Amino acid sequence: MPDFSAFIPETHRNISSGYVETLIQARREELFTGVLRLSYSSGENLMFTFLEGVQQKLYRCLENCIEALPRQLWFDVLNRSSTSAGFLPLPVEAVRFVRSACEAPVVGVDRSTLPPQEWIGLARKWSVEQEPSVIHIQSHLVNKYCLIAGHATPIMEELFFVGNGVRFSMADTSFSQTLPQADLLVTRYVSNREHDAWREYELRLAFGPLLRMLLNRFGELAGRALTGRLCERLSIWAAEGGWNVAISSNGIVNRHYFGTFESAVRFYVELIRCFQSEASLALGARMIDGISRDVLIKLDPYRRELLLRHLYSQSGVGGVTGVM
Amino acid sequence: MRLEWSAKETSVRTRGAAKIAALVLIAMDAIIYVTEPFSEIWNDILAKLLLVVAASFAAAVATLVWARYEKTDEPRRIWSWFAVGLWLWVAAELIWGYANFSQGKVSEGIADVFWVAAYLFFGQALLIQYRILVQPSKRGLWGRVVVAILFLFVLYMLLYSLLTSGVDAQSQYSASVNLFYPVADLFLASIALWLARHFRGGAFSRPWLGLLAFSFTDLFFAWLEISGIYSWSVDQANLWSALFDITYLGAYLILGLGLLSQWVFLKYGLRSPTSAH
Repeated sequence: MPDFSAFIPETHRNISSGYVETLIQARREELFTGVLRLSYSSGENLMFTFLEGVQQKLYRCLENCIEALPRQLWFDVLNRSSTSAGFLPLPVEAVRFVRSACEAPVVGVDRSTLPPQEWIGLARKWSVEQEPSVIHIQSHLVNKYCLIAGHATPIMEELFFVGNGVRFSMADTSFSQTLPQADLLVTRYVSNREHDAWREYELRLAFGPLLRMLLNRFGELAGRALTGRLCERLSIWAAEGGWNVAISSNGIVNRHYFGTFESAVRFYVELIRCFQSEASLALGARMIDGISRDVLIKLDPYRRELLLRHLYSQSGVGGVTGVM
Repeated sequence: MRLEWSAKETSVRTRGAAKIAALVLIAMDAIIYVTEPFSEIWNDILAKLLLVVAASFAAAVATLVWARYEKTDEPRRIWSWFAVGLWLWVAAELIWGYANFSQGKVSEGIADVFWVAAYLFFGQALLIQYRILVQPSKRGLWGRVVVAILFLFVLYMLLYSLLTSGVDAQSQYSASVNLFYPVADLFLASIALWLARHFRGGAFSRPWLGLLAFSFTDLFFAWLEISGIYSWSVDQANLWSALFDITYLGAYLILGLGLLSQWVFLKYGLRSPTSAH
């Protein structure tokens, strides 16, 4: 990935390392969510991600690559003067986007200049390919990044750079039809889906339909009032656990930032267990296992395999054997 | 100071109170049959009244279950049919009780029309429950319905020919009506068993267990009636007859308690401890 931090506007020049610490402290106090860029005269850029005032990751952005720095190195790399700094507030979804774009390894780069009509076909082709990719689209009218998970994942996240701000959106894979009528410089960074950043992203996208279908089926059998109460119980459970998610009969609104893939898996497994234990009070454990099995069968094979491998293979998540 | 019970406490207390009331009704029925405390007429009236109370309890709770669902909820349709079926049984119990009180032995007649009609409503309720659960294709559903009806018809004819060989025309008519119940009950029992197995461990399994209790008592009655053991008044009741009347009352109460359990769950279940009722 190229220097992702280049889009963060510069707000402070020639500042000392002590002042950098003051700026970081101020972001903590104001519960800032977004990114902070630190640029050095050597040409090196550092980028912090913040979530409600808590520093999550520190990335070193070089000309053609980005690397995440371990926490134990943070003090050393920040202890330098002649720095300029800039901030960009982002919604939590965009912070997650930044994490995926920065951490996903790049195994290949394709660049092409295309009219929008050709780009539509290309985007559709990439969206069904096996390997995920980060796409950078530029023209004099547009500057945005997209995450394409591949494997016919119908949802695509986009990050638009507009003026000094950023807009995050989720679109379906027909997104390209909305691009302006101008030649586009399209850069595709092909990635490796086995990386944790993509695994977390894919699992998040697969879990949404799973929970929505489980709740729909529960509603068909138990009625809407009980489904509403079940969702309320699950939302309370998630809030008590410190997870930033809301659950309604339409499914899950997931605004939680998972620092690692393992922490995301742990949450989804716990949520399914919670659903099972609450829902089985009404319908019985056997029925709930049956519902889970039916819903998994209705999902497409790729996402089914993903959910089975990461969530349902965990002990205590119920018997959904025979789905594969 | 706590001014009200939590949803969970209310749920437990409601079910507990209903169980105690059911036991009291059964005890009262047993006392009437064992000690015959009043005159013959009043013993009969009270025994029939208890039965009507129990049947009304089951029908009323089924209606409450129906009312707990929202208008667009699929299960609401199940319970509307089920509740109507149970109210038809209440009507049948009233008619049969009056006929038994005024005539003694009750021949097959108007009460059976209500009882038999109720099975159509139960069948429809179970069919909807089956469709919601299994989500079969239209063709698959009708295929299974036809197979079930054919099976029941063959079973009915088999039992009819076995039990009516060499009996008079009146007995043949009586057997044709009375055999309907065990066969229809077998059908309901098999579906109730299937449903109870699917909902095992959940509150929604309990009404179906109640329906299962009915199937056994109806089989019991069919045997008593055909064998001539059944007596038509409390004062002349033999052990088997009294036992049937008490278990029949118990079957209504078990069905009512099963339905109440579902209603209580729909009203109080899955509520957070802090939420209002």
